[in-house]
Amino acid sequence: MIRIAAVGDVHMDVDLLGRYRPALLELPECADVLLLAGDLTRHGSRREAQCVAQEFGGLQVPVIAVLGNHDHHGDEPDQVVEVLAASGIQVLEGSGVVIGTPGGRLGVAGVKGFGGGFAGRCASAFGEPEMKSFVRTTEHSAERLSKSLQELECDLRVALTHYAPVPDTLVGEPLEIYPFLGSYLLGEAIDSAPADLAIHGHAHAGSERGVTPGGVRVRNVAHPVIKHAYSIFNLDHGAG
Amino acid sequence: MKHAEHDEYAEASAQRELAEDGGIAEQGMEIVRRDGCVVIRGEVESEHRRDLIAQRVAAHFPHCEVRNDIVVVRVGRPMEAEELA
Ligand SMILES: [Fe+2]
Ligand SMILES: [Fe+2]
Repeated sequence: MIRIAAVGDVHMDVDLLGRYRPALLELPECADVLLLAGDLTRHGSRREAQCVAQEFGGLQVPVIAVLGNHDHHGDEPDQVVEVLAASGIQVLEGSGVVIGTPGGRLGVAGVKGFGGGFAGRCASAFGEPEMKSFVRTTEHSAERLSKSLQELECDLRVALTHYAPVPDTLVGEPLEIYPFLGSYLLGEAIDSAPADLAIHGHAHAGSERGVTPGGVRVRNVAHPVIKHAYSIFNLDHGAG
Repeated sequence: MKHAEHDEYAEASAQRELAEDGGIAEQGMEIVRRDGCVVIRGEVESEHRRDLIAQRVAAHFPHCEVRNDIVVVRVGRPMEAEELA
């Protein structure tokens, strides 16, 4: 069994410093790894990234993250990644990592992902260049997620995204904004590996549990959804 | 900031301001218009953010009472793990 802690959408800034720390310091007792599902900062500034580093860095468990749309708002996502990396937080984007745990090798592949909507009600790469580039951004992201999931050599495989791969975990959000919350292309990528578990954030008013068409369990760990410092998933071999 | 003449536009511009002002960057707040008052609902990470949001929204509805029903999300450790087998 591998114990996975996860949270997303912590939207850090100086006003939150120390808020998560007491619960985080207890992580080694209950988890082998902490996954951060994007929107780590409020709007992607260096100061906010330093707050993330201070709050979520230097823990006794490995910390693996993807960025979210908020972390891109400052147009300097590389700077956010650099600050996080300096504190030992590994940021995935079209890449994967394998970590050894007492319960086996855990592989995590991550992308931020993007929107577009879900099967039958989604955007198509058609018409204006802005529309085509919107849809192609998601296609490209999904392709990289699929490839990095498939390349993982591990016992259990987890997909980490910010945007949602299924509509199930959006229940509670207005239907009108589903296309801005995720894309079925991410779900298709997760099923292509397949992953044993998919973790995402972004949908603050969504719900916790869903499943891909291929049967992979999906969990929305956006902080306002889980209402704890993190969720813990005990993942067993043969899961998924 | 200009006050929109109709409540619906006021709501839209308040929502845009909450999302696009980097010092707030809050999406997903619910602004509910009721008879003679406006209620703001949602979940944020600090009391400071809760009060700032209410203040900004109130500026868009100068003729209404604005009620702040935003809550700060808890950060305790979870009581149990989910077993996935
Ligand atoms: Fe978020
Ligand atoms: Fe987000």
